[in-house]
This record gives sequence, C-alpha cells and structure tokens, in this order.
Amino acid sequence: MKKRIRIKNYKIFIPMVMMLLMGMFFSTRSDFFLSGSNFINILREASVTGIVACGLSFVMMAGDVDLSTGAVVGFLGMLSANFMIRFGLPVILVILLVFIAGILCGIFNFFIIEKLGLSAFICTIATKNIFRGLQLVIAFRDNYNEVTTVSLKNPGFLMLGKGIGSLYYVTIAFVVLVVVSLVIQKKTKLGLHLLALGSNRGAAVMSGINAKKTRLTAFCISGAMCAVASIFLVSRVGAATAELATGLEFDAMASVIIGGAAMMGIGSGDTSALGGMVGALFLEMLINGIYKINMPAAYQIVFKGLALIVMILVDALFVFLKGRRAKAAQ
Amino acid sequence: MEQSIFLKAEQIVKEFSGVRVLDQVNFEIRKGEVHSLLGENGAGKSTLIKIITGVYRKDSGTLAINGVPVEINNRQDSIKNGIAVVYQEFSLMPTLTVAQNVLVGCEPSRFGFLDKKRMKAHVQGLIEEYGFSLHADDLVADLGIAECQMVEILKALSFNAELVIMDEPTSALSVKESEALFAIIRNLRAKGVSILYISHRLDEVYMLSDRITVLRDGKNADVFDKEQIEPAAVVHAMIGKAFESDDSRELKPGRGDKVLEVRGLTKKGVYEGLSFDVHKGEILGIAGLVGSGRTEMLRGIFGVDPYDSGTVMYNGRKISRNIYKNIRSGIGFITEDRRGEGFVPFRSIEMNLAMVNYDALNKGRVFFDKAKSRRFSGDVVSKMNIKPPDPNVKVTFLSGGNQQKVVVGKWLFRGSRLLLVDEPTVGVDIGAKEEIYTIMEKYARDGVTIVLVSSDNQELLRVSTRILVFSKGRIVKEFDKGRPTQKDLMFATSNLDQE
Amino acid sequence: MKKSIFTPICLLLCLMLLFAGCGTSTDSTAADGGGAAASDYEHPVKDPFLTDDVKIAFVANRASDTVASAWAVGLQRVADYYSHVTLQVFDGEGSAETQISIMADIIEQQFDCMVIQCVDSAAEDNAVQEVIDAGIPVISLNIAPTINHACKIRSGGYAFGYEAGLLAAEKAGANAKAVVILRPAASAVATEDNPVIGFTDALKENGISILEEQAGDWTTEKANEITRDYLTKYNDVDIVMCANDAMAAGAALAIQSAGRENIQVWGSDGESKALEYIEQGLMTGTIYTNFYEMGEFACQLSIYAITNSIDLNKQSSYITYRYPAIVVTADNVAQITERW
Repeated sequence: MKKRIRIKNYKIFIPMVMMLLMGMFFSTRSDFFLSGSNFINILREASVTGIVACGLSFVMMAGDVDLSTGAVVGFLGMLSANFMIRFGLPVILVILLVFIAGILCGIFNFFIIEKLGLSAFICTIATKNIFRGLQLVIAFRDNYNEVTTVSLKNPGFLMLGKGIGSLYYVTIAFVVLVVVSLVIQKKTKLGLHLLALGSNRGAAVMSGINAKKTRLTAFCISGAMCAVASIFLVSRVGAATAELATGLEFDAMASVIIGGAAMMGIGSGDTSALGGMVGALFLEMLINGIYKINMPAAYQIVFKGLALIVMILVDALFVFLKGRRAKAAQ
Repeated sequence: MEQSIFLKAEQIVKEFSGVRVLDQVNFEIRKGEVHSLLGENGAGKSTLIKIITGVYRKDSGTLAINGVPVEINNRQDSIKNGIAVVYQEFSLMPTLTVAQNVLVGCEPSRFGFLDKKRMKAHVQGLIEEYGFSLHADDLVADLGIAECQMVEILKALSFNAELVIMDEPTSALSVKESEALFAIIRNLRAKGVSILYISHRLDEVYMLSDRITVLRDGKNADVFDKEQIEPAAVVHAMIGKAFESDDSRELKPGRGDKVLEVRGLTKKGVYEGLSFDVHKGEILGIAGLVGSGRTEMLRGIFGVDPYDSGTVMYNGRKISRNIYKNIRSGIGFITEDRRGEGFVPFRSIEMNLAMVNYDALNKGRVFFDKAKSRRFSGDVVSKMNIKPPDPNVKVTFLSGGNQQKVVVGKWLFRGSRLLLVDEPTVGVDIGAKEEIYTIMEKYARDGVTIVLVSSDNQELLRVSTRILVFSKGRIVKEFDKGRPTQKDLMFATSNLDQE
Repeated sequence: MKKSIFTPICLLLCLMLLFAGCGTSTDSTAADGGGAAASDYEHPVKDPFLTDDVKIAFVANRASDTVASAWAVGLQRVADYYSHVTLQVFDGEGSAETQISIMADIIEQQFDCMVIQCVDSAAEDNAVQEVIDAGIPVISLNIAPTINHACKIRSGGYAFGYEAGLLAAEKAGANAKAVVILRPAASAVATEDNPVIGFTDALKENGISILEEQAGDWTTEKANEITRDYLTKYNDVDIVMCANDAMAAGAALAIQSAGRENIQVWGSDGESKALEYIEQGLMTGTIYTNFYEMGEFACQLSIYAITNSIDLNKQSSYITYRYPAIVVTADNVAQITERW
C-alpha cells in the first residue's frame, strides 16, 4: 500500500497542465499573451465567474446543481442599482443589504427544492426564471415603459470595480474567497458533510447527517457568493442592465466541472472551490487566447468547444486508466 | 453458563395496511453470541430488523436492552443503544476515505473544524485491533467488496456497538473472503459483541451460529440451540414441511436434437474458445465461480453484449445478434440483475409480465388487450405462487423472491423454447426456490431447453441434467453421468484457482 | 492534508509568476486606480502607409448579424489595400459584458483604433472611457456609447424614415392603421437617428393611426411572434414598420402564413434579402444603406485617426457622420446594385 503514490486530487492537475500547454500555444502565436498585465487581465475577467463558481462548488459537492446563479447575480445587481438610485442609500449599506439578499435567494432556492420535491436541476431552472422576472420588475424604465439602462455615478461604488495598483479588488476578493472556501471544504465538519451527501446521500443520512440543514447552508453560501460577484460585476460595468450575467450560470458550472467534478461524479471528492478557480481561469485563458490570435468569429466557438472536449476526454482517459490499474491489481 | 441477555423483544406486532407482518413475535439475543435469524422471504425477518434498528415503529410489544425497557423510534435511538447494521447494499461514500466513512456523523471536532489526527488515530486503532487489512486513508472507491464490508463493520465498531446485525454478508464474497469474515465474527464474539446473522446460505448459518431463531409467516416457528441444530429440522421449521435438501439428479449425457451449438466463442479477456452443445429438453447447468465468464457468455449468446469471434448455431441456423429477433425466435433470458434489468419496479406485476409478451397477447390487434393481459397475469401469479397474489401490485413492493418469480414468469409463460437463465434464485427463499425448480423441470419435460448459470452448487445438482464447469473464462470439466456431490463441483470450479 | 490545498495553489501561483516574469510588461508605470494602462499614455503617431504596422479592432454587437458582417467586409477591404494594416473582428455575442471584456483585451493588445457597435450604450460607457484613456481612438457605428469619442457614424436616421413614411402613407391612404416593431430598448438612439420615429411621425401627420408599438430584439423570430400577436389582435392592419430588415422579414413571413393580404411591410438597413423580398412583393420597402461602403469609410477614418495624432477624443463636440441612405421600394429596387 505504501508504495502507491497517492495523489488524491489528481484531477486538478489536468486543467493545470492543459492551461500550461494552452499558454505555450497562445504565447507563440501572439506577442501580447505572455505579459504581466495580460495575466492580471485574465485574473480579473475570471474573477466574477470564479467567485460564483466558488459558491457553486459547495452546492455541487453536496450533489445538487444550481442553474439559477446567473439570474441571482443579475437580480442582485439590479437590486443594488435600485438601492443606490431609487433610494440613494450609502454604498456600505447597499453592499450589506445585497449580501443579505443573496443569502435569502439561496434560502429561497432550497425552499423551492424542498417544497416541490423535484430535482435541484428542474427547480433551479424555475427559480432562474423567477429571479430574471424579478430583475425586470425592478428594472428602470423610460418614458415608453421600456426597460432602459441607467448608469451608476456613485464613485464609492464604482471604485470597487478598480483596484490598488494593478491588483484589482475583485481578484483579491476572488483569491480570498477561494482560500476561505477551501478551508471550509477540506477542514471543517460542514465540508465533510457536504462531501458525504454528494457521495452517497442515503448513506450520509443514515450516518446521522442533517441533509436539510447542510444543503441549505450550501445554497446560502452560493447565494452569498453570488451577491459578492454581483457587486463587483455591476461596479465594473457601471450599470445594471436587464441582461446582466446572462449565461453566467453555465460558465460557473463549466468552471466547477472542468476543475474536476466530471458530470458523472458530481459530488465526487474532486469538486472543490479550488477546482472552480482553476476551471474559471482555464476558461478565461482560453477566451483571452482566442482574442489574441485573431481567429475569425465563426471558428472561435468551434475552438472553444474543441478545447472543452479535449479537456473532458483527457479527464475520461485518466479515469479509464485508473480503473484499469485498479482492476489489474485485483 | 448463564449468559446475560442483551436484547429482548416481546410480543412484537407490526401491521401494514391491515396485514400482520409480525404477529406476537418474541426474540432475544444474548451477549457475545452469534444468533441467526432464519425464515422465508416474507416471514418477517427484515421487518423485525427494521424495528430493532428504528426504521419502523412497532405497533405493540416491548423492547429491552440489558434488561432496561427502551423505545427505538429512529436510527439515532438504535445507535444510542449500541445496535449497528451491516447491510447487503453498502451505505458507504465512495469518494471519502475509510476514516471519513467510519466517523462521519460523529467526527471529533473543535469549533466546527475537524480533528483529522484524532479521526485517523481512532480508526487506525480499530483497524489494528481487529486485524483488518485496511488503512484509514484508503479511498473507499478503491476498495474491493470484502474490504467495503470491513469498513461497514468498522462503522459499527466505532461507536462501540454491542450488537452487530449482518444481512447476507457473504453473498458477494469469495470463499477466502468469507473465511476472513467468519474469523472477524468469531473475534467479535470473543470480545463480547453479539452478532445477528441473516443469510440464506444455510451451511454457513449452521456452522457459525450459537442459536437460531426461525420465523414463519410473521410468527415464531422455533428456536434452536447449537446442539439441536439439524438441517432437516431447521428447514422444516422454515417452510412447515419436510424437504429433502440433498436431492441431486442422475446426470445424463446430451442426446437428441441440438438446440444450441457453440463453437470457439471468444471475447478477449472474458472467455475463450467455448465450445459445447445443448440438446433439446436438457437442463444444462453451468458451474463456476463469480467472474469465470458464465454470465458474460450467456449475454453474448443472447445478443446483449458482442463477442469477438466464434459461432453460435440455434436450431441449425446462425443465431442473430439482435435481441428482438432472438426473442421472436423463442429464446428467453433471465438476468441475474433482476433489479437492474429484470423488471420495471414502479409498474404492476401485470404490466411487467405483459412487457415481453405484447406480441403474443395482442396478436392481430392495434390496441392493448387488457382482458387477455389480465387473464395471463392472473394465470402466472397463481401458477408461480406469487405473494401477494394481486397482479396490480407494483413489483417494487414484492419481496426479492417474488420479484424473481415475476421475472421468471415473464419468460416461461411466453412459450420460449430456449431459456438462458442466470442465477434465478438469488435472494429467494427455499420454498420459492423449490417452486421455481419444479416449474423448470416441468418445462424441460415439455421440450424446453434450459441453460442454467448458477453459483449455488446445490441448486445445480438439484436441477441439472448435465453440468459444465467454467473457470477463468474456459470450460474445464463436464459432468454427464452419475451423481456428483457438492464437493466434486467445488473442486472443479476452483481447480485452476489458487485463492 | 495541508498538502492537498497548498500544493495546487502554490503551483498555480508559480505558473502565473512564471508567465508574468518571462513576459514583457509594457506598462512600467503602475496605474493609479485605473485599468491595465496608465491614463496619460499617449498613443504614438504611426505611419501605416509606409512603415508601421497598425491594428484596428472591430467590436460588433453580434458578428454573425448581416449588418455587422457587411461592415466587417467593408473594413477588411480597406485594410487589405494596405499591407501594414490588420483588422481583427470581435464578437460581442449580443452581451454588454462580453464587449466590456473585449475592450479590456483591446487595451491589452494595444490596438491602434477601435470601431465599435455597442450592445448597450449606457452600460459600456466606463469601458469605452478606459479605451479612450489608453489613447485608442474610438469610432462608433450606429449604436454608440453616450460619452464623447472620436467619431460617430450613423446610417439612415429620422429624415429617411420620414421619407419612407410619406410613401407608405400615400399608398395606404388616410384612416389606415399601422403597427410598429421597435428596436430593443437597450439600443436606444436619439430621435434624429431613429428612422422608425421619422416613419411614424410621417404616418401620423397623414391621419394614419398607430395601433401599437412593441420592442423586438433585432431578430426575425421574435418579430414573427410579435406580428402574429398583432394580427390576431387587430383585424385591420395596413402597415407594419420594423426597426430593421431581419424583423421585417419575420413580420412578412407571419403575414404570409396568416394569409393576410394588402399589408405593407417596411424595414430598415437594406439587406440583400430584404431587397429580394421587395422584388417578390413580400416587403414593401426599406431604407437602404450601403454598409460595405460604410465599413470602408469607417476603416479610412480609423487610419486617419491613427496617422493624425489629432486628439480626436479631446474635441468638445465629436464628429458625427451621417452616412447617406436611400429609401427603396419596388420602383427603384432594380437600381440597387451593390447588395450585402
């Protein structure tokens, strides 16, 4: 047993290696890829998705999915704009309120799942629509009662979209949140319980884990992270649009999955905040690289898809080889 | 020697929808004894266990632990009273380590942070004390079945269980692994832990038990002390009638029309160079250990899984690789994984039986012939003695044995001429087993050919007219005369296998 | 246990530092509370005709959209004349956030000029400002940011819509009824730039009533839905005006499948498909702009901005160029030779 080198979270290394290869590829094709400021850019762009992915990793660890994260971010963003423009609240208060609202959204999500008793997948699609609808309800309208975008002028708030020196606030928040999340996931009871639920819910319940409370916590964490992400997103854009964060949920899920969940094993031990971070960085590096190499728009989508497929294949290959080795050992 | 009693259950009654599943049942386990609970499927064993472990609440009666009356209303109560269960289906979390699996739910922690060192030390300590071949940091997903079972036992031990209930623990284990398990059981007993052992493998039960309680139809049938254990008497108590468990047939070489001719059937890594014939009216038994390629061969012949080379002739013509065509030409397949592939759980018995037989039931019609289907299912239910005898009951609610009867009935009543049968009586009680054997023999007499794969050598000896022995993907021996014994078969199946 | 967290994080940090270290950092001065580039960075004057390589970025709302593609073709044509000029097309995918990310990248890659068709003007102002601060001149096509930038190129506009409206009113007669499918609210433009308002004003002056106005999303499918909705609600519809040709096509198909006749369908843009429909009689008219030419023009203007270091951004009133359009109906459709 001792001779076997156990790299438990080996799956993390696959996207990292891929990123390295990708990085090398892009840097040979473009002079602008390999620079400090570009990497800071990549980090910045990946941060919002990464923060959401962080929160999402808690939910996915426990075996649920959450397709409403983008809608929550959009709704909370619109909410923050409302607080500032319609009510003229100070920035600190706005942030606090949005944070609480995020947690409430998480509670709402879980409440629906429990009440309806359907899978998280279906329920969060439903809540997604609810949040998007709410977003439009509280959106700003013009004289024709059409939804319009109003710019935010509050300098304190807009400052959040920037950073100290070349280190953006959002990136700092991202890294801090990832570290905190990792600590929670790997070193606390909550983390273990989430992992257990995701691994085998029935067994976990039989071992005395309170599934309801634990899953609810996961959704609340996800909601809170969405709140943080929405604040940064809106402060960067400088306005809350009706389409804010559209599609963000898929990017977040893709990040978590790329980072090691692998669809079949959602709730497997490789789902983690670190995975979410690596996945988000991977995706962003991919997009960033595509911009650098002047690929015609049509091919960009194909390229993106191919990169993801290669990732998944490599991952599957790994699992396959591992299974074969285990079988041979028997 | 007067041993103190750990658990005493008195006059337990449990009803489900008006049916008394447990009727004034008394039951007691002494400290440090191995006590087996026997009974046919539906006799009330699992209900009693569920009451003891807090899954169900008894309707009336008393429970006492160490002389103190207790109420066990949920899992927590049961655990608090020192009762642990090791089920057939493991409730383990594959992506967690052994230590995590064992201690989840009662982890040592400080302000919510896990004390990983203590966890590991605790579990490793237990592992060494009981001599398991595990490490606290092993990932459960990497473990084999026997090791998983050890983890389950560890779970029980970790909270100092005084009673460990084991439900069919050896069903998935090899001979060697079973021996290891028995050693562990004896070890536990020596340390004063009681074991409640439930198994259909009567030989094991006889060997291990200090006492046996037999339930029949929800009532107490008998209690045997070690000296009193005598197979015939035990079985008599279980089914209420005498039963000759040493029946084995006189084997005969194959004769008559060849229904199936297999030549050189090969699938890389699974089976190789299989060649044999099956004659009309034969019941060809296929013996061998789990993993020797028998099931895979059956699936290959039926068309479920592809094979690499070789030919299979059915009634003189090359067999189709298309399952549908094979069904139409009279081949039936009774799968070993009844839950996964045998029936549709949330549908009624009637629907399940009709499922494979639509063409026969609905000949010449566009719409489903409900009346005919009803008659058909009523027929099957009574002939196969399915309990409860109501074709509208959803199959998922039947006991394992009755579910199997549905699966078997599905094919038999179709009028199949060649039946490929894989482990037909796993988890089925003796009475039902016998019924299934009788039916098979009847059909064989009527000219149906049966290829029977089974890990139960007793079963093979009871039913087969000829036996082939598989080992590691090849045919190693053929028994076609005389009356071989179980021992003969065992030797043949483990011939090339040094475990 | 510590290993499993820290090892990957350390590795990742090392990766990043490695790249950052061996890459060339072009901003030696630390930016103060701004983007990746310093705010007072002056773009050097370049001579793309002879010596310097220049890059022009075109950020489309949706790169697959016919209008955007036509602009891209036009831009590319001019870029092809000069061996030192390269064009890169960026797809905004219909999202303001994507365009914002793209703009960050444009700053990063030190493009020399940016041509942009915004998705949501108000939302993108900050990002455009950053581009301008990085010394990159910004030229907008149709949907523009609200802040000052080098040049705003518009096609069509109120006047042409008005002209078309008069034609429609004449054909329909007084007491006719019209329905309108507007542009999406996020892409709102000033009245003078909006042909639909010109059109409806012309109708109203001629006694035609506007039954209903609804916002589409530039796409054919949505317009199809909206038109079907209109047709079921109103028995008497004589004119349908759409903010672009794609929506007009959707409206035309809806009318056709509902089997209604004698309804005028008007669009705007002048796509070749719309011109075909006019020839076939499915559409009544459109406001045609030669978007190829417009793209060519934009590219020429970009090169001018690059070569002339005139700080176009610092002018108090930015240049607006209104690109000429033609109102096309069945009468003059044959005269339109360059179709895109």
